[in-house]
Amino acid sequence: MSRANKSLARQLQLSFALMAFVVIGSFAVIMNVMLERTLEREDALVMEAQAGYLLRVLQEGQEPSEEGMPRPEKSEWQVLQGDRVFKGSHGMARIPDLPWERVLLDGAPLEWERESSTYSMLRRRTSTGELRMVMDRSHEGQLLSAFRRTLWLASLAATAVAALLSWVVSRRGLRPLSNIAERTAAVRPGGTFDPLNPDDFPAELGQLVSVLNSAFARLQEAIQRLDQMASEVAHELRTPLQHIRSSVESLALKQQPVSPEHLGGVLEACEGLQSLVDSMLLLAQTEDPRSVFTMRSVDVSALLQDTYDFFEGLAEEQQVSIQVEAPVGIECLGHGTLLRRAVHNLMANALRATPLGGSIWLRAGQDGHGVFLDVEDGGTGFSEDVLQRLGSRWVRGPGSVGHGLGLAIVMGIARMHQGRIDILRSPRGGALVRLHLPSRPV
Amino acid sequence: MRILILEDDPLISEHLQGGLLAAGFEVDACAHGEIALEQALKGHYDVLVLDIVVPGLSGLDLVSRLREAGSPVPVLFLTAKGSMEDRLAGLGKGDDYVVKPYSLAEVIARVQALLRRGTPVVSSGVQVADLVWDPLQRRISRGGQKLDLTPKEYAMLCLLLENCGQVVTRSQIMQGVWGDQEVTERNALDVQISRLRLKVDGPYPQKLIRTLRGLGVILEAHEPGE
Repeated sequence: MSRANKSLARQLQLSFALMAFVVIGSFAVIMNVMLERTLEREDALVMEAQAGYLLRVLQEGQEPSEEGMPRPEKSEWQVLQGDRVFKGSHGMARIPDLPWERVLLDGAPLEWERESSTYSMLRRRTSTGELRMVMDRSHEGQLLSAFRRTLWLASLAATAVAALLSWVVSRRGLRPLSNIAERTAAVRPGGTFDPLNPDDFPAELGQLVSVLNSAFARLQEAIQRLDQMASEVAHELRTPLQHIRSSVESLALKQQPVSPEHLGGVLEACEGLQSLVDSMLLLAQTEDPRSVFTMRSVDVSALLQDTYDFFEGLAEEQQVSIQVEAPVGIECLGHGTLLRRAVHNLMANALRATPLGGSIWLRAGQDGHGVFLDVEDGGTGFSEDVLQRLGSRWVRGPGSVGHGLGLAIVMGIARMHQGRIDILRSPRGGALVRLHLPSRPV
Repeated sequence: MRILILEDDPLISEHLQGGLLAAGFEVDACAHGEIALEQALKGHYDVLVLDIVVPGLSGLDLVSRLREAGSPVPVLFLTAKGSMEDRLAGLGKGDDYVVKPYSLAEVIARVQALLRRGTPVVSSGVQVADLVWDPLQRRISRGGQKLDLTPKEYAMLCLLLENCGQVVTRSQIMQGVWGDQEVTERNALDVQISRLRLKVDGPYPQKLIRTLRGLGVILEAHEPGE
């Protein structure tokens, strides 16, 4: 299993258990050391007190008593004069055989281990010889072992409890994620999606829920647009298909003689279909980031003059005048055919929007960002409602008889050129579409 | 004139063959790139009409191999919209393309245009009825009267004169006069054509330019009332 696929709950569980083990284990070690030192210090104090008592009593020539000696049960002692044992506790013989020569006379007590017992040894000078004292500290070792055992058991128990608790906590903590997954899995294209309420989730997941909600809303909108597009396409295709079908059927049934005029109608319907399909393909290409087009230097002034030449006849028929205002020599980097298509689309829209006797302005110029190209019509401008939806597919401007793809194609072409279009209201009240394009690199 | 068609769709191939046969060409057809190359190399064809995506060798590879072998035969490519236009537009002289779905009239017109290329029929001028084209003077007159044409109208009429008696499609006019095949606004082009007709035929009883619905425009001599 890859690292990324490890269970989050399991990782949390392990981390918590390890953390509990380390914390409680460290605590146990510290406690153990402190207890050991305290016992050691206490024993040293007891031995010093006992030695003090014994030296004082021996100097005064008295016999040490059980009552007078502090904690007499803890130590055995002997007083040596030369090689002879002069006095001692419990009949002088109970002191074990230990390496006394290693213990410094009048120095600090020395620890010594023998046959699994721990002894603390002390030597003090008396007026006639020396005092040797020994304390058997084995019972303290046993006490410490028992303490350590208890601490280890406590650590293990705490680790197990921490693991269990973390499992419960992580399960509970991750449950909202499962809820999100279940709700997400239920989302189906075309179905309805009830947004998740971020307030129903922990604060940390609220943001994720909001992001998911908006992503699903966008997808749903895209699916709706696709559905709408499919039905629009079907609708647009139906009319020319009907023409073709009716004409061909009547020819097949010999209801009409085959005439060039009749067949021409069929061919024109085919042209309509072709034009729609071409527009949709072009639109798809402009929106496909993988589309590759060779960009060259394009003479924008010549493009506008060419547009004028092409539309001038139609404009004259509609009694509309076209004014071209483009200084010679304006060039941009682009795809000639696509830019021509964009300007022709804008011009066709402008002609449809401009009433009898009106004017259309074709302008080109340069600003700090590159080249701009204006098509201003003599109509009444776009209403707010149309303005909001312009550039979406199948949205027709006032008076348009096209497929409603024209402006979307222009926007797509602008995008492909790393340009953009602005749709404005001209000072004369008509619509002003400004196409921004990058300049030709010098 | 012999034409070789490379098209793997049998219905389209049959349709093309029928159309080109009816236009007076000898036609061979095949559906496989390698076979087409073999045939093109040993047969004496005047034009090749090639679909690009076919089994075996693609139409483009076929042409590369032909050129390597030294064959200058002109080629008309049949291509899907947008996919190859840029590459095909940059092809060598003598080659052309039509975008699918194409009309048969378009294919025939372009095959005829390819056949005419390199033959300087127009330098000496053309006369159709009383319409006279003097290319050296850049002058076209009717009944001895010089026609007052804009540069675009002149280019359009030249195109019709070059293809006298044959249908010229709208996309051919777009390509010949405005530099690109795509008919961006049909109404505008139709107005241009009708204005040209008015200038050429307006005052004369004999009408030379006719619009064939769904096909294109044809310039030919008709007797008045015919």
